[in-house]
Amino acid sequence: MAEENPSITSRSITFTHKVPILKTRRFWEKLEEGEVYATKCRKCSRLYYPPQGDCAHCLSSDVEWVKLSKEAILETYTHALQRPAGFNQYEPYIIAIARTKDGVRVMGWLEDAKLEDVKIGMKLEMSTRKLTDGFLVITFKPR
Amino acid sequence: MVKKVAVMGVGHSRFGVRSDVTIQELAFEAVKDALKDAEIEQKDIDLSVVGTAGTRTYELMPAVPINEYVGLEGKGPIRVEAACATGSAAVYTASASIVSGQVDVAIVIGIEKMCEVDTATSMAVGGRGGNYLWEFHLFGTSFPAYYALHATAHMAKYGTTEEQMAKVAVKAHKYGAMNPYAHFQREITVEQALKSRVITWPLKLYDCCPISDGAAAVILASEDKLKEFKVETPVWVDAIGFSSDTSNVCRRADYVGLGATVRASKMAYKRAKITPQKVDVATVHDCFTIAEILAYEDLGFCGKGEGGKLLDEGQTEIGGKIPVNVDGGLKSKGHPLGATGCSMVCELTKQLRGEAGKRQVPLKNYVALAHNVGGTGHYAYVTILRR
Ligand SMILES: CC(C)(COP(=O)(O)OP(=O)(O)OC[C@H]1O[C@@H](n2cnc3c(N)ncnc32)[C@H](O)[C@@H]1OP(=O)(O)O)[C@@H](O)C(=O)NCCC(=O)NCCS
Ligand SMILES: [Zn+2]
Repeated sequence: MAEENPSITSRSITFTHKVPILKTRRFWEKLEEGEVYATKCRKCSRLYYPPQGDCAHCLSSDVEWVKLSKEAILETYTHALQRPAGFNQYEPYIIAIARTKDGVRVMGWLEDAKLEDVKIGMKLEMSTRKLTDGFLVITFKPR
Repeated sequence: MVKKVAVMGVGHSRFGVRSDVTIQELAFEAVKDALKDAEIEQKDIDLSVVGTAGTRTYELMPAVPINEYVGLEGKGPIRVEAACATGSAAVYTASASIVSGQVDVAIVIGIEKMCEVDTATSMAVGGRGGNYLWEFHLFGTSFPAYYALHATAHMAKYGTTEEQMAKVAVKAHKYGAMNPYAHFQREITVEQALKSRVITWPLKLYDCCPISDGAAAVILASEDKLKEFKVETPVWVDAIGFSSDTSNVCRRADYVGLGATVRASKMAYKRAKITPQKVDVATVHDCFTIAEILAYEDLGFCGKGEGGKLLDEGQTEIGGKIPVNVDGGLKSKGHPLGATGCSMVCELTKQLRGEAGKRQVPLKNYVALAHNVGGTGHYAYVTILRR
């Protein structure tokens, strides 16, 4: 019944942002090569994933890039059947969080696995993939 | 000089798909109701705090249009946002203004209009409720997905079942059916919940709160004002605990609880000088069924991993050890983000006054607890009320 209430259409507004990546450029470039990079603070040795150009701990901005290991262990996951706007052009995907050998957790899409075979604790291989529309995604596959 | 703060009046709109009203017209319902309950007029109010996430409506800066429509121009407003915990953050803001002696009477208008956009858009806004660049942008996260990540982990670690999660929904709908303000006012069965369509496995339709419009208003006053207005059974805002966590869920300690809830509740219990066992009735943030189970554990209503068991034993129903969400919770009552924290205070105020009718819980210590989470544990507020 509620749908039948009278309404008018608003003026539409669309935001498409320019996201600055100067401080994290290496991460985005390396995704193209199938690699995932983190940053490490040169002053206090904190490892940051996702990478960041400034250390929240010691406030230094002297950070170095560190390539993450491709070996990871699955910590949790979900099969996203109902998807948000911007992602409905893809098949339903499994969002996973896995811990790499470096000790940091990375989010990615778990691929080449049947949902019933997916188990927390399973060994995964991390990589990246370019989607048909040019966006890059981090992927995990069973190892 | 720190002043005591009490709830002087509460008001509520009907929650649901409210395509019959604009955001300010919706606010009007709750404000009018609250003024009537407090037996005061707009001129008695010093400050208006408008709590709205405001991310799904055409009115992007709605505090002033709302204030004007309800006759409060000039009284503030302060607009507050803390994702799904916006209502509690707004209560905190108003309360702090009174505690510090800057104002004597403040109204909190918690409100959200979520149904003016389609579901996919709404999910894309919610999915940005973590850290856009490193999560939504890359992987298409959504709120149901974030909580599903927690459900999967909790199931694996503690053996929590889909059936136990379904029981949260059944309980919510049972009480929602008795709440005339609720989005859904119908009972459901465990089978129905288990058979509903998968949204983000393991969460199904009935594991999710709906997308709702709604408003709730809370009028707070200093102790002096209460005397002036001769309020006989004030409900005191005893303590508000707050905390937060990393925006990136990858950086969390684990996925079997919400650290922000643990910390906020410890702060609240300490400030109110109580233990969880003293709480007569609670409203917890059950945006997804798993979230209610996490809340039982994180708030100390049971041990870690025992949330499912508490449900199996029916301990969180009226008559149980600790009745939870007897207003239908977010699941059945609905979850208009900014309104939720205020709606919790409305319900608990009525419970503590003994005005909850069919849903009245037995009162022993006259202590109630509202737990409001923003995002997936990105924020947490725990408010202790006492009569
Ligand atoms: C789960 C969800 C995606 C479903 O939305 P949807 O796809 O628009 O739902 P549908 O259009 O398929 O609804 C079909 C029916 O189910 C009902 N319905 C919608 N959501 C429901 C829910 N969560 N629980 C029970 N029933 C629901 C609808 O009223 C409708 O009933 P009708 O056919 O009698 O009219 C949506 O409710 C959602 O995103 N919920 C979470 C909201 C959120 O993230 N909030 C912030 C959390 S902190
Ligand atoms: Zn450092």
